[in-house]
Amino acid sequence: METTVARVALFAALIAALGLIPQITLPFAGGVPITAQTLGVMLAGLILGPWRGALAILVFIAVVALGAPLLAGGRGGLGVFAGPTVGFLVGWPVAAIATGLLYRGFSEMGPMAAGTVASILGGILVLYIFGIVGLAAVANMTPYKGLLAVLIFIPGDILKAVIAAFINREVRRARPDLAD
Amino acid sequence: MVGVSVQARWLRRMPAGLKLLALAAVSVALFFIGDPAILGGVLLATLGLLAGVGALGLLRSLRPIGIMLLFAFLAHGLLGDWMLGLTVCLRIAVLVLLATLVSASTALSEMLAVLDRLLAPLRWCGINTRPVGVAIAMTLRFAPMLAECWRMLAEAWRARSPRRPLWRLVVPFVLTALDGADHAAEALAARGGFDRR
Repeated sequence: METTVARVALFAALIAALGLIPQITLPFAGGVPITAQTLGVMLAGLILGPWRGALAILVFIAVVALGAPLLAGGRGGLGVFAGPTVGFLVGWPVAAIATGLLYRGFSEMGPMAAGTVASILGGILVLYIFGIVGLAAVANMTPYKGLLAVLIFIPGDILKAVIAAFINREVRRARPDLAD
Repeated sequence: MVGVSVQARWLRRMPAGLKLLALAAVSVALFFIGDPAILGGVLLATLGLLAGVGALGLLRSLRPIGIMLLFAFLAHGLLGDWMLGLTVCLRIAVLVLLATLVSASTALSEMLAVLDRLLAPLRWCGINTRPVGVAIAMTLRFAPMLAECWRMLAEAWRARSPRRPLWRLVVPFVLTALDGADHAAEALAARGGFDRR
């Protein structure tokens, strides 16, 4: 129990710390910065497993909602839940669950391939469905237009999926006793 | 807690639960207003409120979403419905400003107290909600610690290599975090874990 809570909290803090890594901001894509934080979402699902990974993200989102400016770019507080990117925040825990479950399902493919495929399906496909529906609902757009608005992030996210799979493999190699 | 202080003491003193209820009520009400003229008035009133409580600095919370708003406005406008675009943008701007104002005028500890009260029904069902508070407190404590750990790893990298560290440091970083978590868990268990006080 203590180990679970501590790992969940540490991963929540890790997602916060990943937001501090210097980022590339694409001004023409809504000013939404490309950050390592979605890398943290994929990693939570791969390393902690679906359920504890999702808990870590829920704790992180709770801390942001309480007012800590931990989202990339120093954003935080309740304002982020009224903005057009709220769908992505809602999708984060679901994306971690999907990534973790898919990683388990594909485990016979080997950690690198399974991690990459699970991260792409869970951390990009599932996440973007939530993000685009959120964007469409908040900004009253058609989902198709929302899709066009976020397409620019997909190449970077595929790179992040490969990096997440690599990190997961290395972490599991260094800590073989890591249960998921 | 969002980097801008609110000067008006009455707003900072107002109970956090009341502010959150008011915010929720305004959010619901705004979705029933479809007239851009009324929403424009609401935005002016919001700006007046921000000026009145000395928190015009919060306007910069609109910057990260500004271009997304412009995109939504143009997307609606080019389809021939400029009024809908205006309505949507005004509504989002008002909501983001008000929500940021509530966060900026409320201490994190008060927000935590509200969360604790929201969890009360779980306690009535006999579920121990202490791990929730502990996890949040640990996250707040460990976020700056991990950021510091990242800086140290990056510095050590720069001392050895002319190349930029980037993502290569993430593996040692995650391992440090996992070890830190296990240490914290041992310390927590040694102090009685989540038994009720």
